Amino acid sequence: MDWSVITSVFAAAAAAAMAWKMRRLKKDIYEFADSLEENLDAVIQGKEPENTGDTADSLSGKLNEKLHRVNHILEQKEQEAAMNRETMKELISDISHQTKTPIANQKIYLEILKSRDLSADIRGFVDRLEHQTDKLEFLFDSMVKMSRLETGVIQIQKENSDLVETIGRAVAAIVPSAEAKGIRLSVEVSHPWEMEKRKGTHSLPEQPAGRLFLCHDRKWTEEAVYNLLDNGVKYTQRGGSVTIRLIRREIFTEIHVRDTGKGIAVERQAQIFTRFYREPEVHDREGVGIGLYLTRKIAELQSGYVEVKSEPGEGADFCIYLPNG
Amino acid sequence: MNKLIVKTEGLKKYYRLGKNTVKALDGVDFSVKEKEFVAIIGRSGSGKSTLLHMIGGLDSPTEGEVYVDGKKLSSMNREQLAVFRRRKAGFIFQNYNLIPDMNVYDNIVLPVELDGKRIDQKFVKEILELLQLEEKLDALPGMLSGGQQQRVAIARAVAAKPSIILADEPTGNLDTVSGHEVMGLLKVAAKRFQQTVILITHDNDIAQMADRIVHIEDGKIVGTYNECPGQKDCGGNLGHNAGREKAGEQHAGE
Repeated sequence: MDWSVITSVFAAAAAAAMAWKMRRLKKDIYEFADSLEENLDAVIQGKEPENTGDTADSLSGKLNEKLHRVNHILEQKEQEAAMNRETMKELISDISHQTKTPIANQKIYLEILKSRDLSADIRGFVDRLEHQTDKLEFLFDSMVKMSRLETGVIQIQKENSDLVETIGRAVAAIVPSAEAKGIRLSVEVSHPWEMEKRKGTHSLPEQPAGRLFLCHDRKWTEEAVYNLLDNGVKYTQRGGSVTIRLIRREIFTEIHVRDTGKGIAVERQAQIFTRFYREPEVHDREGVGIGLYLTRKIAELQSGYVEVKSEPGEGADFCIYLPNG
Repeated sequence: MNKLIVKTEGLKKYYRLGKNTVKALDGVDFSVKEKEFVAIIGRSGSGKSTLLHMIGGLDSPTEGEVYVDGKKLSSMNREQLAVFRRRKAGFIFQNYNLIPDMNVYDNIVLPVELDGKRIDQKFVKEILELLQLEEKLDALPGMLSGGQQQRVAIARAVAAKPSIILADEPTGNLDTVSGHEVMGLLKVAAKRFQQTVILITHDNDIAQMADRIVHIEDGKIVGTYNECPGQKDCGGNLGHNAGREKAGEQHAGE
């Protein structure tokens, strides 16, 4: 009888010890997995992983040491990328700088040439040469802009300011060419959503009449809108009109540029946003097929997007959507 | 080019209805590239929802295979499928499917918590900012407008960092203007967080916002249109005209 009591006590004690050990082991494993996950998260987010016990000869110590190395490698890669970007930046600025002078000189010589007495056919060639020089200048300008935006050399700087003012500057720049073609320009501003909300309990900062405050990059948004206006004027016949409408909705503020031009066939509506796309019928002066591409890029860099609605012969309605928040 | 993230091969789904067999899907070969935004259009009963459910592992095919992120769905057991849905797929439904007595924040992080993952606060904050939900964090879904609720659902789908987002008529309960806005946000969010979206809609205007439209009728793909070639590739190299390539590809495929 004694023996069986002793045996069972021993067994119970052994079982308790085992259970305790199991629990400790389990706890250790959970802790290990937890700290590993934490450190992995840190590395994923580009932070330094915690270096607990990386000198200890334990599993977590070894892993932490490896994680540190991974982190180090990632940091180096990032530095490399930053350096590449820097090189790219310099290259772009070199190209833009170095091409400016020869083109400017070429233009001066063309001017001089044109002031001379020339025979009709030579004058014709000189005119064509001038046209091509202008095109080259515009092309370089656009490509430099494009590559700066794409390589992240230019950072979009959003600040809360009056969108109407930004649009105004874009409109002012297009007035001469619109006037030359007798195209009417008009701007409308509306905030249907706020009107509705103000009736309710919502309190929103009142937008002063004719103004629309929005977080946006002024310079590049102007460029984006100008590109749309430029296209609008280019593809609209004499006596037509280009209308700019700003609509503030719940999530996005819409900048519509609507023209009464020849419209765009549905199957081409996607292509027009690609680089160097030109409408087959138009091959006039400026224009290298970069405008819409840039516009879309600029909208996207501001967490917005661009859309077009059009039917052949019905004009086109381009719209830039910029987020309100 | 981007790799394929979703691929179906000869996908068929037949239902027995008395003596008749209904062919919900009748041999669908469909694939989606990484980071692509695809809209599936078709009349109701055309099989578009069935296709989406198969891709999301919510339903199993009668015949054919679905591969998502290189994995064959038919070879997974129930438990593996549940994990797959939680980690790889984010769902957005027509009726939002938010949990009514959890606030906006808890709704958004729920899938992450369910998976036992640490919540990436920085990422969640970025999502909230982009979807303009920062001021609504403590609100209950019932206090929000339809558009706002759907934005929460988008945030929830994105927060778990899934490989694909599957949206079933996400604008179906919204008026035209909010529907359009919510779609715009979905598009912007997918682009920012580099996610692949497959969207079902019967609204052509909504479908126009996708990179590619796939038209399904009677369980078969009857047409594919590249709406915005090059849309996803605009960040590419200077000398590489991705848009033209993609457009060219499409013509070659026709």
